[in-house]
Amino acid sequence: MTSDNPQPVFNEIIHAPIRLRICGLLDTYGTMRFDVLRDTLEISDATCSKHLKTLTEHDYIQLDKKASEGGKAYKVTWVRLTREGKQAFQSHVAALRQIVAGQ
Amino acid sequence: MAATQQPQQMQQSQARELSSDQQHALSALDSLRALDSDRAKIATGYEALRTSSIVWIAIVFGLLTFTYWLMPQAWFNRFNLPWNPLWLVAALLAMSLLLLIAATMLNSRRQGIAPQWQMPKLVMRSRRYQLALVAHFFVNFIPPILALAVGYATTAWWSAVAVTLIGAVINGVMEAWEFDETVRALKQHTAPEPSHLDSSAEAHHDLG
Repeated sequence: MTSDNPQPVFNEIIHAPIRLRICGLLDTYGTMRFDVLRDTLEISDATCSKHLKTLTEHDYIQLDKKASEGGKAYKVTWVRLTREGKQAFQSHVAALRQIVAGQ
Repeated sequence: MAATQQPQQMQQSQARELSSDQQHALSALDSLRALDSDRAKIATGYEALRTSSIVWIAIVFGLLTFTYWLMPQAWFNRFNLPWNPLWLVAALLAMSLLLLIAATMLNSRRQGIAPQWQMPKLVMRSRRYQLALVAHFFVNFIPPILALAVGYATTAWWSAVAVTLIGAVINGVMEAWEFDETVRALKQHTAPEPSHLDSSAEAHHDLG
């Protein structure tokens, strides 16, 4: 479970700007489609995939590939934060707030 | 000579430390602002679905209110149907539920965001959203009770139209209120105000 007052812990993996923004969107909106994440962050497919791979390797996000609607051949990827990812992200945001507050 | 150099070196090292801390704080602030901006960007897309969401909710809850009006008619079999009229009520309830699910799935598909059982924490914490939610909960009871009472009292067709419209309008207005508060909460800035950074920047400038 994630708490309302997470312990501030700076996380080098999440701190990379694109990864931080991916985690921020997933923390608020839950499960999102790959193309929506990519378009919101205005990055390429490859960049988005690269950062998602890094987050997956650290068990911070989970990717679900589902068949697209309408019987098309390609699969649609849905992305969501894992419990560990949510905790790590919230702790990192708390750490950022602490830095801004000058503590 | 060495005695005068020492305080100068200390001052320079303090200035460097302050500058480095300040850079970290500004970088952290930029990161927090980027999170706010991304969240607001999705909320703007969500805002584009305002009209369609309100219309869907009005249709579903208008249909539900009509179903409540039909319940007393079916119970007393006032239309003298050859089959059990309660099936009609059950069919309308199922249709309302299916329409609601269809609307949710359609919105989810258009947005590229899976349906959530609960609004994001940021929205749930908003006092204005909480107020809209509580008001919606209580107002929600008005159309069914009114429809049951009117349905019990009369079989006139216009009464069915009237309660259906009341149900649709009340729920449409409540949905609009909730929707606006949701968007407002999602667009709010959560990054702290950098007032102390400004003052330390000035202090640093003075040192230089």
